[in-house]
Amino acid sequence: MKSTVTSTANSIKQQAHDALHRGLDRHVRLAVTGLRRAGKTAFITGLIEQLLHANEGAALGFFDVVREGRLVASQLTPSPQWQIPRFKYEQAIEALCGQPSRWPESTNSLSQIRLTLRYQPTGHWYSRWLSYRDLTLDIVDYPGEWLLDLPLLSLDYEAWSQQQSTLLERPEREQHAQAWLQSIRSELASEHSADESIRRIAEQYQLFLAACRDQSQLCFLQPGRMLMPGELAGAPALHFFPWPQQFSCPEHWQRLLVKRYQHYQQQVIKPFYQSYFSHFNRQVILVDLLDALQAGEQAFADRQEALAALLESFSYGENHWLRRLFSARIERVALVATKADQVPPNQHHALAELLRQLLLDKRRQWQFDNVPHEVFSVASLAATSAGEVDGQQVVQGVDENGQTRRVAPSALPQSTPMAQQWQKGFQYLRFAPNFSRQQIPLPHQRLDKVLQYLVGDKLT
Amino acid sequence: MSDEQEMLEFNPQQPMQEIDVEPEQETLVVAEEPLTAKQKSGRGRWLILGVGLLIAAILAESVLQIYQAWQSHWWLGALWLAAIVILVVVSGYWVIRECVLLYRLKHRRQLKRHDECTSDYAQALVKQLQRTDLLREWQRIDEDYWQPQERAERLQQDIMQNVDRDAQRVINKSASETAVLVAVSGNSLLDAVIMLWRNQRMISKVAALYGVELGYFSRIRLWRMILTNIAYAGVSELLTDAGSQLLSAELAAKLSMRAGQGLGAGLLTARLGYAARQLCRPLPVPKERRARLTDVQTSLLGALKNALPQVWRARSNADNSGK
Repeated sequence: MKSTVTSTANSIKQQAHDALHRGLDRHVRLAVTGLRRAGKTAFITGLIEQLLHANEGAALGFFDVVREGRLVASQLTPSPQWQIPRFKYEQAIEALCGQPSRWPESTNSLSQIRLTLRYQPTGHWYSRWLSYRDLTLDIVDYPGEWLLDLPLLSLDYEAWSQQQSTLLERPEREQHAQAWLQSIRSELASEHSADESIRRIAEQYQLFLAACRDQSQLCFLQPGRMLMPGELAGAPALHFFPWPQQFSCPEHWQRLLVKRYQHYQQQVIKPFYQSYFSHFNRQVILVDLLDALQAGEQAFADRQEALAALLESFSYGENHWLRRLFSARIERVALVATKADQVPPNQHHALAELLRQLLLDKRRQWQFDNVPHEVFSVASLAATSAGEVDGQQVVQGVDENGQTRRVAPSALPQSTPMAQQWQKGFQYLRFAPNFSRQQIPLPHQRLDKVLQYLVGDKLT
Repeated sequence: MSDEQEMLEFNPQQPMQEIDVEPEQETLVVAEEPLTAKQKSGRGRWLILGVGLLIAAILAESVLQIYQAWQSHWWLGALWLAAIVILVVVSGYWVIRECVLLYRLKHRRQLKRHDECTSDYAQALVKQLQRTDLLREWQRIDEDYWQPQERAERLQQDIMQNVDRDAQRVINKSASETAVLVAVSGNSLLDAVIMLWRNQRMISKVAALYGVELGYFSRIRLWRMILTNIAYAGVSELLTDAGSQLLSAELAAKLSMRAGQGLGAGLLTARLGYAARQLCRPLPVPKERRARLTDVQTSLLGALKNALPQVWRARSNADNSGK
């Protein structure tokens, strides 16, 4: 009994401390946003790795607090939200430095990690009396699929069904949808109860989503929990689907579907959004452009749409102190083209330029609203080295079979590719990691610039 | 560097590249080249011919001389021979060294545009500083994935700032020394000698910090460049410093005449030092880090006040006694 009281007291104390820090602006909650396989886990691992080893030879020349020698140390500290698992940083490093070295496993549930950076302040009236200050950095990792649920919060069932039906007319989706549509037809004719029929159709819908993801490499697939159910696997909460406009919906089915959809909105998405997404004050958007280019024109356009839709779920703008406490807004956005180590350095500029083009509309809005944002091309864990063969820049690394490969990948377009470029296609070799314990801190490319941009202003 | 540019030219998909030309570059242009070229065509050729003939005559004369001396006594001949060989070797060494140093000064690498900063080029620039510690540091931090602009930025911040700090110290020290010396000297001829001597030393030191070694001719050339730079290109700096100059004039009026002279001499020294720094630095000085004379002025006033309280006060005392 006593121990429960003590622990509750401790927890409250910690939360009060956090609230104070948020109010005083000593707390950065970083939204690591990215679609599936955009490199979120690698990014978080790389970020922690560099920060933990900042004073032990990490190459962080562009991170002012390190270059000026003002970072005392950074440390992983326990997060106050005890119900959330911790981000598996140690396992990720073990996988990367293991024998054989491999990429950390992709995320299938939510996790969080907290870093405390202790640094010497400078240029403030109080810096003379303060030997150090702390900055808390919270990072949340979650499956990219779940992120696409956020746009659902602003749509009702009718609107969602309509939107999905429009998407369904595209050939890359239609080809996978036949079994699902067939099941609707047969269930409409059958004598099953509404609940039973809807469950069966929902299962088909789930298969359809999986086929779109695995065969056509599409990303804009809703609801996200159907692809990565987590604890909801098999639960009736997931037994719904958008109604295709070509069929007319029986009244009692419609009622049930709307109910399930609303339940999903209110009980699944909203808590997720409120607990993790409404407090962010910095955001990094990760996009794997190379993968998108390689997947082809439809997949590329699909990613663009998915990003545009999900970025609508965040609120951007400046924070005053009251807002910081209760509903923070994102003050600063880093747009990151990940896996830049797969192309030679002379194409990094083109990579960033392409990302700039991809998010043109959103950037225009940010510019209008005066939200600072910047584009970077980054390799969170650089698995290749650059070289030159006959005046042509190449990258060298190890492929999945452990063979050393030296390749000159397809030249990147600087804007959305034209039809003939799509016909030619883009080829990028996926390099495997080849790290060992001796290499710690693991090499990165341009993470220091991203760090400086995201938290540098708080560390003065 | 050339590879990248070629690629840019040959790739029709790439839109126009923005070229980051520092407007301040213009201040570095030295306007004396066409003049000397013109002169060379006329009188210069005759002069070279004359000097060549003279040297040939001297050589022939000395060979004959040695031969004659050898005829009379072998040791007299040997003595002459030794003397002339030593003379020729020493002056030859001097001429060659001067030529090399002048060549190095003329052909020292300077990064004009940031997008030229490839890995090799940056390394050559650091090597030119002749500081092994900085070279080692650069080799440690240089990353092959950096874009030229990023590399130039690191070069500024991690390498050049070290050297800049030393150069700033040298300039500040020389400026305050000159100020104090001129303030106490009280003789205009002596003032001129002090200025020449102190500035000469300061410029050699600043140049040496940036890896530029000076011989006689290269020194004269650098001086010419510095003076041209100050005279023609210092306009913008003059304008930015105009306020402080006015202030300093007003302030100088309150000082004793000697302290005022000292202050002026110190400011001139500092300006010479900055010009030398700008010419010797392998990268242009970034705008926000450009030193302003106002900063120097404060330190100069401090130095004068500390070193010569009696001179500092002289004017106000005179004023008081006059009343």
